Amino acid sequence: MVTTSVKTDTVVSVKDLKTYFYTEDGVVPVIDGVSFDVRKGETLAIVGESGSGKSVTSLSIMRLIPTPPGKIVNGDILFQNESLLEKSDKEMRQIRGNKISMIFQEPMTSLNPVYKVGDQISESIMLHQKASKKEATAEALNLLNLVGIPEPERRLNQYPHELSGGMRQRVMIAMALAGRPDLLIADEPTTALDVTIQNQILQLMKDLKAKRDMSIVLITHDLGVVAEMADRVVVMYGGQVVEQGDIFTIFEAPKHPYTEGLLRSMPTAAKKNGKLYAIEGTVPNPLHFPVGCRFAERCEYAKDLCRQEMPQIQNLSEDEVVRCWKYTDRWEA
Amino acid sequence: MVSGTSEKIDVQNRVIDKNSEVLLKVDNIKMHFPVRGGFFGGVQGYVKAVDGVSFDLRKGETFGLVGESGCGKSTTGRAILRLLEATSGSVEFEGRDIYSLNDQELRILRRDMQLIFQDPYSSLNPRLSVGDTLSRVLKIHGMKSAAEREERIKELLELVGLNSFHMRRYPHEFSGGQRQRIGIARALALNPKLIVLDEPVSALDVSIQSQVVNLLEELQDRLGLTYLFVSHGLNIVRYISNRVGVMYLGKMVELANSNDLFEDPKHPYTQALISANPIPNPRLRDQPKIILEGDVPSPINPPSGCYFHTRCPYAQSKCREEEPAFVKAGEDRFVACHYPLS
Repeated sequence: MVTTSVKTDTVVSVKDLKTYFYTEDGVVPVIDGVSFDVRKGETLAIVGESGSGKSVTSLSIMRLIPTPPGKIVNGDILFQNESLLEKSDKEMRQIRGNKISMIFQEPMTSLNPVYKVGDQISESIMLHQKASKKEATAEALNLLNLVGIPEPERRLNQYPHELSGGMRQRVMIAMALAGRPDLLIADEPTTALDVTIQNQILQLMKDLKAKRDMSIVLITHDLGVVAEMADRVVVMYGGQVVEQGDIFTIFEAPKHPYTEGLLRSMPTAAKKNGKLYAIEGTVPNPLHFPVGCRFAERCEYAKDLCRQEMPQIQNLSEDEVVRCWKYTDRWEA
Repeated sequence: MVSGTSEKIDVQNRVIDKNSEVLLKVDNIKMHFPVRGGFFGGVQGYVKAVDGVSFDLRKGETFGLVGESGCGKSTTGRAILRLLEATSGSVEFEGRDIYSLNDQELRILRRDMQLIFQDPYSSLNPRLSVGDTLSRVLKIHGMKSAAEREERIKELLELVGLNSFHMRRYPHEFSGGQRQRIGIARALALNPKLIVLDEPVSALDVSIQSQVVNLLEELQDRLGLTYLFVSHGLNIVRYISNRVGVMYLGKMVELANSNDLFEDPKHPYTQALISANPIPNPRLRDQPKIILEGDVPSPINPPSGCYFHTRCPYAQSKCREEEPAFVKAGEDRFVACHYPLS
């Protein structure tokens, strides 16, 4: 029914974003020309290893980059067709929590240990909506119900340390949903949780996405979670997008050698000569990125061209984007 | 003792000769930590972190120990090395009860049994160069000559895929994967027979994990090592283990060959764990999953009967009343359940 509008409706559009950090050792291009769209009602997964820039991308959208040392030096972030970079701090506070919410990996560090759970949720409701204390508490109870917390009345009066890790993450989700956001950014939301609890939280996020008609940006390093959740995938490496595509293309016909390597190195993949496939080497130091392709030194297919010149991002089809020399005219030349 | 150790272990099919010699025998170990509180700080109860666990490690095998946080898998790993003193039960290493050894005998035995940690950064001294870290281990265990030690350090670094020039460097100069290699080199320094690996790849990036896993398998083949691989990551445990034990609330609920366990789990908890594990294949995501209700109960006040009955989709009245024994459930497998799945 909504399939046609889903395709065209863009919630967030990140355009050639560059977020640099100015450190004593030099300028670190943590995000170096990243572009992608998040469509209405979809779950977009951003995948990458530590240092690939996936978390800084989400913090940039939230305008939560610590400045200094960090700074958005180029590009734009459009949210519902308005530039977030031109918003004042006051306007951003209105957007955060109301329109865009974020949940983090470790709920314990994002909850205030000295306030009761109920007070923390109702505070965020009162901040973002014109609600009385009484209305806010009633809404907090609704939200705890919505995220499937047993005995919600009792939980309202408990402190974060009295809850288990899974319960805390549910509370965080409840708080994030308080303002009825159009976009939920979830940064490794289940990484700290056990697998049976992770499963509960992922199912909850799926249900809520449908109920609230939200878009989700899911940041994770876990390809199992991606396969479970995402409609489309952005693969990051060395501060850049190296591939972008729909979930099935990424898993079944990956284009970039890095994506291919990640999938082949999963312990569930087929063994070759009794060994697990491994991408050799390590992630390059962002202070000294190579001039050419940032993956070249670890790439099985790399040629001189790859080491000498940076490949540009290009569209292979409407939905498929890759940054690799293999898919250009110059590869065979 | 039964012979048959010379037979090559078929890692590909994960079959370990059943008659292979037992290296370590764990018999009903319990690890209870007192909980103090109240005005006088008296003992209020016990956290039963490990509550009666038994298994064997066969020479040359990789035994995977899985379970969620708080199930006692790491504590079990430490108790069998006697890094923690078990409350009761026995651990025999090559036929000797390690809990009957005095300090000096234990120190000598430690050469045979080593531990590798999850986070190699916090387990390496930041003020010591890699060479110094390894040198200390060798010196404490009696390698007096400095030249001999240096030779051995070079050999160890090369064994784990690093270079001899790395010995002058400090832990912060290495990446996570390289640090784990140093942790492995340290564990190998004294030619151990058994290594307990506590979440050895969980902190590493996906592309680095497979490098370390391959190294561990290669070292096992070359040096004839036996591994106890403790992890919450089911995919990696399935991949690397010959046999797997599943723990829940301080008890082992199931033990079987890796393939049998993952293809045909007998315990409802094992089944739920496998079902909850996200598979990296988007075509399978709409498969029905078993979603366990609630959280793991507190190990201070575990439930009556079968500890899993509060979350078990198949629980019946007997499960609430009577604790199931850990019994044989087929060829080389055990399960603790009144109504095992068929």
